[in-house]
Amino acid sequence: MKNNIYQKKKEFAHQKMKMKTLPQELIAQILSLLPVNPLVRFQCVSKLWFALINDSYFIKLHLNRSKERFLILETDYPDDYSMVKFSNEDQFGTAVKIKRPHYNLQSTEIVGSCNGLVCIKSFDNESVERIVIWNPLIRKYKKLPPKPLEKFIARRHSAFGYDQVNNDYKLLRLVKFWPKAWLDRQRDERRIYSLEVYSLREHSWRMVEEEWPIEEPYTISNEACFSNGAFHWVVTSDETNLKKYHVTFDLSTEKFRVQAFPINSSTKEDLELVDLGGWLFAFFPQLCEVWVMKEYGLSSSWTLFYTVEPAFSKYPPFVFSHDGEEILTGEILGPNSRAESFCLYWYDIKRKTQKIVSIENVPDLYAPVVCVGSLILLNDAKPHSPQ
Amino acid sequence: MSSTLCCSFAKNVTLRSSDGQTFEVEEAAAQVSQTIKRMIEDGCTGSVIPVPNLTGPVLALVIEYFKKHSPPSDGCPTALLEMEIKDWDAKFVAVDNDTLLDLTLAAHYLEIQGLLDLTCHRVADILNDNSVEKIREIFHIKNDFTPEEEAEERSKIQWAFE
Repeated sequence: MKNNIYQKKKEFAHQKMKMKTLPQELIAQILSLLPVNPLVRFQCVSKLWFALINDSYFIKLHLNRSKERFLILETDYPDDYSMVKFSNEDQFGTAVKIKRPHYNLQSTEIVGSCNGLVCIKSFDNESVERIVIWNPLIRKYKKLPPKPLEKFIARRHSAFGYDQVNNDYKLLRLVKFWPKAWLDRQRDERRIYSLEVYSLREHSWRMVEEEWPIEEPYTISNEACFSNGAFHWVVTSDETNLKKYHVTFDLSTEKFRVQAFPINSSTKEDLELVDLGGWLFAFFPQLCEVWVMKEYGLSSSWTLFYTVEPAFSKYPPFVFSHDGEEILTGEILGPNSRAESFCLYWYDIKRKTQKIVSIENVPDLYAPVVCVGSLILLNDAKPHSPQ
Repeated sequence: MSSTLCCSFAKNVTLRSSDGQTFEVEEAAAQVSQTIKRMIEDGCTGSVIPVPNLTGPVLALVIEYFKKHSPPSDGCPTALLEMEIKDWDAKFVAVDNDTLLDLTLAAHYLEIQGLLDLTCHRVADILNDNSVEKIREIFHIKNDFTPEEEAEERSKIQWAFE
């Protein structure tokens, strides 16, 4: 009898244990709902949790569900960058200073940001380009193998983004050389280019044999916009009446494409391309208009999305509010066009009103870069060296 | 004649928990669970449907959930009804941690997507607010790091604990 009760008890205990042990896939489902910081800590719970949080499949699942958003406030040397989180209710926290990799190198700039990764470029004293891919939330970065720049470079453009087809992060370096074309009296711009791609997956550089798609001399917009798996540039012809081209480079096919812009693109109006929530937008500061490419890749689908009150900010929009009714933008303030401070605004698209966003501890002058919370690089890169 | 009867009386099914308790529930309500839905479609309705992974008390809770979430007989759910269900859901998972984990597992085994989302979010909220030590306690997890290993891992990510 006693034996029997003992047996029952044991069975019950066993059953209880079994019930309390969630299968791994369920633990992964639950953990994927958490923000980055607790997940970094929870690596210490057990060896299983450590392996789970560091698993590439889990990191991708977490990214796809991530609702955590924050701004990196890019400042000039010698100031630290700052970081400020904003909640699902669009409330901003307090800005905190963060150590960036390559702090000692003076001319540092953010190339681009994608899936929680920030690509930073700087130069050391020998003018060698030093590039890192950095995940500020997990405080890890990966140094790219140095790629010496050749001589006679006229211009170069870098862009950073994600190749969804090959699940790879890529940095593109587009280099334009000076002399040969001039010496040869050759006006064909296509021949004086080199195109290099760094792949995070392969952790190496390679040349891409793809011709620049525009023949005439031109000026390329400073920063590429990464949207829908491609880089987008505004390219202005130096010859044909400042005609503007929309040049894209698809990260998975590694091919260029030239498209038309929404309105009469031979006008002198400036425009800037931005990605907002996966949609490609064109911002015309002089016209106070924001257009959207409703069907990605189809230039005939450009549609006027909203107009900005002329008195308001001439800064491109950079993120939607949670309900999609407001848009975060900003303004550089200062007397006589001398930039002294930066101010953030929420602009209400329907009501055409704007309200100032005040964040504690922000630097005076900065450029905001929008990021999402992700664990990418957790199982790959090295942590910051203590400074 | 028979078709009229079929429509006017809701069909019931009987579910049996791992510890032998039986519960009668409307067939339409039980079909909130994809697992049970498949069993009914495979013709299990005549007999008792065994639910071997759930104890009586947990199955009783799940049946409460079934009843609240069974498709409304008179067409589309209204916004008001949806709000009421949302409130009810929040209260439904405001239970002790062990019961919450039981419900999570039940939703997983019985493939009740709505309940699974609900419980997973609730568990995630609890995790978010707790320390590593407390989480081991809640989840009945054995710490298999040696003290040296754990100290080393922690030292790498000290900033995350500050």
